[in-house]
Amino acid sequence: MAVVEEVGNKIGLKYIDCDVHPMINNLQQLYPYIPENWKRRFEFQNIDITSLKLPSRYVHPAGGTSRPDAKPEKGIPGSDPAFAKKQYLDPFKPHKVILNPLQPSAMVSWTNVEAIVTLTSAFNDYYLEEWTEFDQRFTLAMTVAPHDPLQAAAEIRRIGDHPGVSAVFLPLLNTLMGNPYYYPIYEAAIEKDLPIITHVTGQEGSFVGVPALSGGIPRSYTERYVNLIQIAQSNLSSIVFEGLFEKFPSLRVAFVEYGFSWVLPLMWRMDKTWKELRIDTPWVKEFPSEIIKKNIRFTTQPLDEPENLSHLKHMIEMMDGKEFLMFSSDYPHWDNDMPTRVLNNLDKETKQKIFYDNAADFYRLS
Amino acid sequence: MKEYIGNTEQFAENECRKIRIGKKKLLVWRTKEGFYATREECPHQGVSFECTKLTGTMMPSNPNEFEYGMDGLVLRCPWHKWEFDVRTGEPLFGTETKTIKTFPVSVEDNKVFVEVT
Repeated sequence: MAVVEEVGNKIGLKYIDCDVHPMINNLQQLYPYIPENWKRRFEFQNIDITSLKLPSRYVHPAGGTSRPDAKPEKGIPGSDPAFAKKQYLDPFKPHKVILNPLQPSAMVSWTNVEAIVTLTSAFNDYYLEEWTEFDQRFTLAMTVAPHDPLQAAAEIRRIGDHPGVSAVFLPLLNTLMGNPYYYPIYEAAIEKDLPIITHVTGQEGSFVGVPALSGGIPRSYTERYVNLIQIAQSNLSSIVFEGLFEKFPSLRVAFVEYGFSWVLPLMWRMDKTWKELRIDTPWVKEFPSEIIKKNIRFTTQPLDEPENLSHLKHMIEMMDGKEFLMFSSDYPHWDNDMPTRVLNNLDKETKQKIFYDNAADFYRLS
Repeated sequence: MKEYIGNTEQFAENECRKIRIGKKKLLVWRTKEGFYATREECPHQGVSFECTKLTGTMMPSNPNEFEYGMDGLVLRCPWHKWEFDVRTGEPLFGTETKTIKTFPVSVEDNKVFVEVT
């Protein structure tokens, strides 16, 4: 694996950022990548950028989810690769950043599968051309439409070999990731040696068909924000106990923007329960925690910040986190964790793995 | 030291008899393969296995397939359902590191003996 090297950045460490969000300002930006008939259809519908994300129950209490200082001269935060380069890439000098587009992922709340597939492909082509070709440090988690796994698999096969693609972004429906429903997507990702990442879409708990939140309907944005980990917990349990890695041993999966402090107690509980009730899922052949450490990765943001930060460090040690955590910033969003300001109390080896080695291996980015 | 603990017909298949030898509390089990003796209590939270019967288990399998096996050779704790191979006292399939202590059993002319060390 790579060793720590001086790269002249403020961190003193070669690093990969696993979560940066590009945006578009208007649908017309996608038109060069949309077939003519669909372009007319969208014009008739008069859909625009606000149509991509249906109005959620949960409105950010401070007016928006992006950093106001990340707004370029023209357009919304995240919409200008040149501005992102100037504000983030050039001063911080990441080795690579993974682009996780949220606008196409928010279409999990839509129902017209063909429209979703058409727009998702257009987004992928747009970001490959306008971002990854603009600066090779940008690399794309190509989005697939989960509404039709066969068409999603076809999309992976269409562009999965593109040098700007490093992962498959699977937005989730209210179907858990261990379910065979998603198998065609996993098969195509394995065929292209791409990992599957899943990320919060912003639609959770707001619509029929998207992941529901446990126990009831939260009242505030804040309640839902802290409860989003429930979705990752359910999906992690599903992946492990459905035996997904028995079926697909070479599959790689990451949970992005779900944090990680919940993983340790869940691993404890999964291990204990497997020990007791192995006969319920006899295809699970080793401790769930071992399966997780081998096959699944978690990104760091939004980082929990206990008053005594050494507690977080101890937790990372307790969960063997240096083996499966990956740094992410969430630039340009309001709750981003900047690489110079977080996880500074980790030892050199742990930091090296979390900031670079684990992601370089997971995304095949050396 | 070898101790006589009864005749074979006093033991029912898949069941145990509780044996006391000095301060040692043992259970002697009759299986279709022969006789085995274990410590009475589960190494987890100390429940007695006396009330349970030997069973089989679901063998490691492919996803969503069930393969029943080890019929009559599995000691499953009545509380937390930990499983052990009654022949060796070893936990099944790497689920645990704690084992159940076992004792050698022999049969001579329908007489059952256990060796307590």
